[in-house]
Amino acid sequence: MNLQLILSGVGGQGILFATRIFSTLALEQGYNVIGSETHGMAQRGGSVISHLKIGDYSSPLVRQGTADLLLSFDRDEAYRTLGFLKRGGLCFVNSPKEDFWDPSIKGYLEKNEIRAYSFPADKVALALGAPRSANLALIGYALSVPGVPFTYEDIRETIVRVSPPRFRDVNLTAFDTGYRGEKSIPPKVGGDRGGAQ
Amino acid sequence: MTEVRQEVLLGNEAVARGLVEAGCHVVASYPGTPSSEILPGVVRFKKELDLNTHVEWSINEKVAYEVALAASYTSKRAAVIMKQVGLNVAADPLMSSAYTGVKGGFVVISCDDPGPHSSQTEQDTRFFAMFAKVPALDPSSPREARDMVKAAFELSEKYYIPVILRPAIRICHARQNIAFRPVPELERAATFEKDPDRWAATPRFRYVLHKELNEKLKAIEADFEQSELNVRHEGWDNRLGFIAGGASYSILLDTLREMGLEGQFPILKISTPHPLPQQLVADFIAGCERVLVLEEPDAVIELQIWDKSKVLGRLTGTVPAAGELGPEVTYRILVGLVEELGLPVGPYLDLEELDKLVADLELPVRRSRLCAGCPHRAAFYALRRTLGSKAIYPSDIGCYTLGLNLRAVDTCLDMGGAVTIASGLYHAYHQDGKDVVVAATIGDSTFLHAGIPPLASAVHNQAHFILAILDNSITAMTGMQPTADSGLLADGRMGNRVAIKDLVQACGVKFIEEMDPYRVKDFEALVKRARDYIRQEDGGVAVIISKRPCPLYDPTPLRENPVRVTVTEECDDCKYCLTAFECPALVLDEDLGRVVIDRRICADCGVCIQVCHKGFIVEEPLQ
Repeated sequence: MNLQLILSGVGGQGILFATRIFSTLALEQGYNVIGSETHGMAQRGGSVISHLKIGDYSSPLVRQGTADLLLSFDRDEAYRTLGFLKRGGLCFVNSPKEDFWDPSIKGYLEKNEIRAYSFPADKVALALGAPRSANLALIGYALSVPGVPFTYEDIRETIVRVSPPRFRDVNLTAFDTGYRGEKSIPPKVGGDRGGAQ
Repeated sequence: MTEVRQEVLLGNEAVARGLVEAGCHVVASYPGTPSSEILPGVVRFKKELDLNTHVEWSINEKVAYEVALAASYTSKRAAVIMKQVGLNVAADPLMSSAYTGVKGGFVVISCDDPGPHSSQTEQDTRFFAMFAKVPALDPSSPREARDMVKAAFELSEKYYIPVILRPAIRICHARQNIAFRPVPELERAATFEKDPDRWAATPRFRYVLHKELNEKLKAIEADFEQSELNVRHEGWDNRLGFIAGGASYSILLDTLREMGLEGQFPILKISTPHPLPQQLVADFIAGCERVLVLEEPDAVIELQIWDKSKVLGRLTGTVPAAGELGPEVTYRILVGLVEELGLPVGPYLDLEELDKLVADLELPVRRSRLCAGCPHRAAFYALRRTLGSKAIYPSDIGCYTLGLNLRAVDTCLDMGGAVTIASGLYHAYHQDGKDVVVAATIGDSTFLHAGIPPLASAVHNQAHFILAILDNSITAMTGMQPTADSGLLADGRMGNRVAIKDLVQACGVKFIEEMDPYRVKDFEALVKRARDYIRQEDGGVAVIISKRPCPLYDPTPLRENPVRVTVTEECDDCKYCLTAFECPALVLDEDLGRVVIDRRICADCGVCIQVCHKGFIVEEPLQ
């Protein structure tokens, strides 16, 4: 497998954790992995972008126009990082509105045969009482769409292993809810400060 | 058969692994992006393997350098770690130790930041290697960075010379799977052999040492001619060749493969940029019609090449002279050269079209800002509100440089620069008979690093200004490294505490007050008192220690005493809080036409209640 992924969003959305899930699994499946992440000043509320290359690669950076898969946890960042996708690439965006793309961008997506999906991961995670598990809800949703070269079972198993114990269950619930594509869940009583890391 | 343990390591952790696998005895560092995770990596392996390694966060890079160097004097293996601008601070011992040489292996790890992403310059550490006349190694991947640590120690011990390892940010912050190698026990009892002609050399002997250094460099260059660190890939099309090192080399390989040009052009990978193996390079160039040099951030290899008649690079304008040499830039350069050769370039997406489309969307600019609940924000707010736009606000290096957004930072030069610039500004105005209010801000770690001599000097020279030391108990920007004020050591044990307040007092400052910046009104009153003090003829430097832990580092105070705020429906969208306080948890809800609290990031500090003078931000009534 040679696969190039971009995960984008803003600081605090668990992008590095999401990257870790994919890299851990790929490594276990016997692939080489190399990637790159954002640190320092850029993490203070700025855009965060994580590159992950699975297979035979030398450099940690994905070049624009060559990524197979884009997972974006923020709509604006999705626009900003869309250029990473190759022709025919696949993209998943965390967005409350299903059809949010600007018409001009839609033209670009169609012309370049990019399959773009959106899922209200923030809303779903908030309803589960775990706003910081939105990353896992989006990943779950992505796995329900054909074309992502990982299985639901393998990713789920990896989440179990890499999640800190106290976040394991909530991470799995968010992941499963995303996988089932459930967009509305009856609000849970109590806290809205749960979290996943 | 024992299973080889493999792990996905951050480049910096890979360097740390390299240090323990090389049996390094002493590791000293001062944090700075992109180098900060190396020492914690060493701490991790030290704990896992129960090693006796001495690790320390020194107070600055010069101190770290010299502590490690002294261990090398005793025949131990030692390393010092810093970011590239940290080497400016350690330049003095670097230059001198190149002459004196070392005993045990001594490796200087200085991490470059092309871009720059998180630094004040894009300076190239390899120039420092040339300047100091020491060898430099340049890894092109985390795995190679791990391996090069060992090579660096061996080189250092062969020639008794400091060796620079220069991983750039794309190596430091890359992640790659790496198979662990065993960690040896390297027995080296501390033995300092007195040799005053070397370790305490006077200028007459320095001349001798300089000649010796020149001989060492010549011999090292000869070694590099044969070194396995430099690799030549053959190609069947010699109309173009590449010389590349570091991340630029890896990016070149991937880009050529993506373009379907793998194996076509010869490539010379240079991992030893200084001293440059001149014969190896000349032979390579002789076999090509043209050669493109890819390296960053500057033209260190290119400048050293004797005959540049066939060479393309930064000096010919082929490669941009500033900014990162990322895959996109590399691709554009390659497309240009390949098209000149009449070769087809595969179809590519029209990214310029997309860039334009996205630009037309006018997405809100996402600038970096202080976190929700940040005590610095409260301090900046009070300073700015009390002293206004006429005051001048020198600041320093750290999270709090983002006080820019609150218009309470006017200068940011270097570590410790807040105090010296404040002092210089005061004197420049004072000699004209005009006294402006100068209010400098500096973080706790930065003050300890480079603020103490400037403060002593300012007091001595009768400067008058306010210095707010923003003490959040930790080096936050670089990932929560403990400071000397906390007393905590690099490996989590408790050391001796060096109190900032005591240091300020010892510098001769007469006005010192500590205050929690969350108490905005009290803080404002304190700033007024400080202003009155600096305006007095017999006043001087007024130091305010703004004391409150970084909530990311220590969330307990806010967890125990949360102030849950809400914005009332009366909010009239005046935007004062958004501009003057700029907390990311205060957001304008366009539909409601008023400010709301973003519960996902609100830290429950409650400071914004004191910011809305109309009283529309209130503590949420208990339900």
